[in-house]
Amino acid sequence: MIRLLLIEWIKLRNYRAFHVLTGLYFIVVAFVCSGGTLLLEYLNYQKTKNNATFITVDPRILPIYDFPDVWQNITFIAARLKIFLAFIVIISLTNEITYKTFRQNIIDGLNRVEFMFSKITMIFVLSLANTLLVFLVGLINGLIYSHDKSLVAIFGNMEFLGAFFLNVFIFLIFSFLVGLIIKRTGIAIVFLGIYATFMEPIATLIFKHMPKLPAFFAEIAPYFPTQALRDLIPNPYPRYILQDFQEYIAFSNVAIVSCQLLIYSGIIYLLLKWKNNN
Amino acid sequence: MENVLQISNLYKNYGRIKAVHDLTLTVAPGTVFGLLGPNGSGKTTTLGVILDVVKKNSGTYTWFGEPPSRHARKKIGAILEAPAFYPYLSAAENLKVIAQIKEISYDSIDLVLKKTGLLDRKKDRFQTYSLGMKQRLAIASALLSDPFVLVLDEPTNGLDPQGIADVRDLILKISSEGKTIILASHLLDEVQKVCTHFAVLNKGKVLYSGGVEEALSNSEAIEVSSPDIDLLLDAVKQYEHAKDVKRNHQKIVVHLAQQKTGYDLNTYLVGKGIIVSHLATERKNLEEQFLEILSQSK
Repeated sequence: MIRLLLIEWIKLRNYRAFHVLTGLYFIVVAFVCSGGTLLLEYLNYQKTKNNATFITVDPRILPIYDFPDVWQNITFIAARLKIFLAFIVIISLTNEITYKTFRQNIIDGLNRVEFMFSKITMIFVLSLANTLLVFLVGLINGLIYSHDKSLVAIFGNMEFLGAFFLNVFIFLIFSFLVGLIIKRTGIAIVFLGIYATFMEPIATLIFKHMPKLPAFFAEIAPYFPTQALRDLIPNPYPRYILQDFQEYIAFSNVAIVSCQLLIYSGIIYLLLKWKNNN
Repeated sequence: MENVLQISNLYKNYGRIKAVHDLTLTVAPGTVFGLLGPNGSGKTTTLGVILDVVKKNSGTYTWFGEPPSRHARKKIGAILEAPAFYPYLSAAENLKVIAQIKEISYDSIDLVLKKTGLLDRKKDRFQTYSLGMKQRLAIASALLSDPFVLVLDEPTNGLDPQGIADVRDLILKISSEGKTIILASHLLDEVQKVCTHFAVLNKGKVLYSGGVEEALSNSEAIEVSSPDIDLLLDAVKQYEHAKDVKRNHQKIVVHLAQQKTGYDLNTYLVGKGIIVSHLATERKNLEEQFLEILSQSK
């Protein structure tokens, strides 16, 4: 396993585009996740500027970085950004096909399964780094702004970080599959972007809420690749307008995405095993 | 010693196109084996199958007498078509990837770069290389694991005359170290200069397989000429070892039975009282032989 990771590491170590893209991504994640207070300040500024006296609450008192709520708050936001990490995975895979280095790796004696695992370990490490970053950003912001800094509070609701890791990891494996099928960098990126941000969310909305559609459609919607991942970490922000929301990770959702992971890996394995790789 | 490569009854179709059709080949150790054929004759497909990047339809092949595996592939240095490297990595880093795949140390990297004359460019990115340097890096990568067998597909493609000569010298040098080389090419002149054995492929079938020397020695023609050409023609036609006598303007071209040379013909003619003004032994080159094999198959 270490050898496979090392192979992938040598491939990426001096690849400037990879460094720039992952660096930018991590900076964006850190900024967006730390930007909550900034957003609240902005809301307050708008409120005073427009003399919206009917809003009696000062937005700045919203405890978005309070332990342990911060973990669900921050992972929910960070999970919106994972598509950019997926682009990096797609580039690293389609490069191998474009430059025919995948074929050369096989000729040189790499097994197809080894190739698959070398990419998956890279995806694993990227997801882990992403989770670690979100943990640190949450921890730092929490230590600055949280009202409750007890260890129980800090380490409460940590399962959302686990769910975040699973969310990113599975989405990146899904992107790996998309890249493997489409093979062209540009088309794969555009397809994944449109699919994950427009096609599937719109289809899910229609399936769930369109009247007169048979119940069957609403029932299958939670099984869609990105919808299942979205359901994993439910939106916690309704709590600030005192509405109900799901404050836990549902086992059924974990089961669904785990099955998806198995299915994606299985298809990747079969594709690599049975296709000609010219 | 075990054959390096044995292919038996190999079939590969791309849809309705029969890329390889019942192909059987044997490569003995220590030979430089040329795989010849026009474009689209199945050379690269065959190499792709034996390197496990193209799935065969049926048939078998063995490397070193063993069924194919990734361990067998590690003992082979191969390039297929254009050199495939990571353009954004340097030569040294590209070779490090290969060294990791083959599970060998990095020590040989400088060695093969020196052998191929790329040592002073090892830190430059692959995309800055000229075509000739790319080809040489491909050969360097094939040599990296000090393999028993080298498989080279069109190694001189796109090279200038100097580059071609360099690659040829490199192949001869490697072969003199006792390595087996399998070389696919359509440059017959090249094959003739370096190969000991060759096979001719067309439409996925083997038309001929054997030694270069044997193929060429059967095809000696002797050109003779004398002031009285008609007298000479009659005499040559009566010579018992002469096959296939042709008159070509003021010269007569004759093929002799095996083991008979220009010396024997001259002795015979002198005995008949004919003094020749010109006598030359012409060896057919591989190109003519190749075209003949191809035309016979039609």
